[in-house]
Amino acid sequence: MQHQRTRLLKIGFSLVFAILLSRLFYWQVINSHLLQATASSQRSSVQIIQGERGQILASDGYALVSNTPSYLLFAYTPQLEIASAQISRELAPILLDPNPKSATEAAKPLTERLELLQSSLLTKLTAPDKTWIPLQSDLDKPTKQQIQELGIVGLGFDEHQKRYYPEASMSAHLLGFVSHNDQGERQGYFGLEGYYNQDLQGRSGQVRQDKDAAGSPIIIGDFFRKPARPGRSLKLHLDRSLQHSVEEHLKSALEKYQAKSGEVVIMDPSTGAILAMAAQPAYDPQTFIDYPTNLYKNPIIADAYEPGSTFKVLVMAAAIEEGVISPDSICDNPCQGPVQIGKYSIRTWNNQYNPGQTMTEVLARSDNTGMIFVGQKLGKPTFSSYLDRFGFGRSTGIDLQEESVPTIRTTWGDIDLATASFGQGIAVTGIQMVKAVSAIANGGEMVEPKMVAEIHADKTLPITSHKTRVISPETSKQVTDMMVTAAHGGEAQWAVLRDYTVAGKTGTAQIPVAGHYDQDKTIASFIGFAPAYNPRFVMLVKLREPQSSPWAAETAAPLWYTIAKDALVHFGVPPDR
Amino acid sequence: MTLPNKKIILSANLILLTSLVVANIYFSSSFATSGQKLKQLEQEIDAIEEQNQDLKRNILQKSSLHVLESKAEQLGFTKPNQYITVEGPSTSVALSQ
Repeated sequence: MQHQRTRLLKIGFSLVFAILLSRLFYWQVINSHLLQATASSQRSSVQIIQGERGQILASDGYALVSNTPSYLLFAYTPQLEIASAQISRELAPILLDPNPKSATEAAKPLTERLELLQSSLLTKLTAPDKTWIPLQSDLDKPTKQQIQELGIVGLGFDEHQKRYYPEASMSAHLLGFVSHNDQGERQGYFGLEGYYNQDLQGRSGQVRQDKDAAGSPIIIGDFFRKPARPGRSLKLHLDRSLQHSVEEHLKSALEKYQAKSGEVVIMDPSTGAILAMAAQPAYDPQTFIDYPTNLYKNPIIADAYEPGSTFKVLVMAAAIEEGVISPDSICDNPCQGPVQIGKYSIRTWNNQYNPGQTMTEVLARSDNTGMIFVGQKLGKPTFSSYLDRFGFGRSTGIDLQEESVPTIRTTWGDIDLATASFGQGIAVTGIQMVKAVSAIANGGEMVEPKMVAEIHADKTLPITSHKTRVISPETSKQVTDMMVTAAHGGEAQWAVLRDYTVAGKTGTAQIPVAGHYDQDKTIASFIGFAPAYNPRFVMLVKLREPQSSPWAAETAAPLWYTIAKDALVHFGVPPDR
Repeated sequence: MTLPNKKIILSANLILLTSLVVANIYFSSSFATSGQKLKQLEQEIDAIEEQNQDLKRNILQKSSLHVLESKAEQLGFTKPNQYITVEGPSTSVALSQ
């Protein structure tokens, strides 16, 4: 009997042992990874390190765009030790915006705004079924420190990097801004931020390590580190002082001439380096959301306009290059009165006619009938091919995101050729005009405009501009002479620089509205380069709808000369007259 | 195996076991302190990097053209409205004396 009991006990123990063994086998062999993962999750800590976005530097190395930390204040309700009402009461005075942007908010008394903020915070803090509650985003460091000094347990901060603009709204149109895309990732939009987004954005890194209960690293624990890669920085050709001066002059000119908008671009014609580029009205990239979206695009590269008489220099250059005219060719019969083309009668801007004038005089007087004579000498196919050679109908290659390319007609009627020869009925962008005129300034070679000089990565990557020969050096010299005569003897001669030789041309183009030209609305522009025979820069100035005078000679030209004077002194160019 | 030999082996095992336990306690405690030290060092690095960033931003702020322009105005500087170009020999006057 006793022997049987012993045997039963043995069987029982064996069974229990077998069950225990199989259970252990199950956990330690079959499902060991689950236990390991659970243990690892309890001691392992993962920290994501943001790859800092690259900076955008002016040519002097000053950061036009940098980064600064921004904090999100949150509450973790299980850890809160004091009542939500008290927390909201203590936080509200710190979080209250002293200068609200909305007019309705600003009109409210301070006490009312404080109460509203307090109640909004309380509503957030007492939201049911929420443990992690975001309270306020985009806090700066001093505000964060003020909140930390309150010593409220259960409040925390998430750090993010945001863009910082030390020169405020300067160069906004060419910098662009950073926002979030559909996936919630940071992305650059417009200008350099948009064009060089891939280069500028960094790659996030990760540190995974075992930590003890106090949060200190366990030295002999697991450790994995994938370093963050900061974004590449861009060094621009942009001259910060010149840019500042251009923006100030443009703002003053808009007030002085009561123009709706204005643009200035300055480029080195030998390298394509953009030295300054400004458009008004502008926006502040730090608070871009507060501005109308139509201000985001850079009008110098995105807006098409009819260039008017500034285009005449290119038509002259094409005709001289083709040998159909010379600067001394005479325009006799075609220049004696209005030119009739089909049902259209084309007049000069002042309705005065000068038969027997030379081509140099045609350009200086900005004579439309003389330009029709030149256009007809060129003929439609050759005229069209020169538009292509000067880069119209194609992207200029500028490294900014929102460049638009106005289309050029493919079929040409007699009236189309006639009007295009004096810059009407043809749409271009400001940057296309600057690029085309750079060919005249640069001995016949046209250069691609470029904003960025170098990309700073592990090593410095220079950005090069392509050059294309469009006209011969002889043609370039002859057209420069003609432009010098136009600048120093044309209708804008009163504004010309006394000590420097300038090659330039005014343009006053009526604005096409609903199929006809509005007589009262003009785009006044001036394009030129200085010093004429060894140019340091080519510059375009454009004013939309100036009210003080519709004429470029009285608005755009004086602004051009004011900026040119500053630029020549800034670059230390000695007078050549 | 004789009895004295057994005793020796048992004693050796005990000594080994005790040494391992002591070593374990010693290394565990010293690593625990190292972890704390490492955490402290990491915090110090973060603080210095943060200070560095603050200083860089401070420099940018103070050398912005808007700030420099307003300071220049406060100090009585004005923009030149006339330029004079001096032509002459390449050597300076001071050197020729």
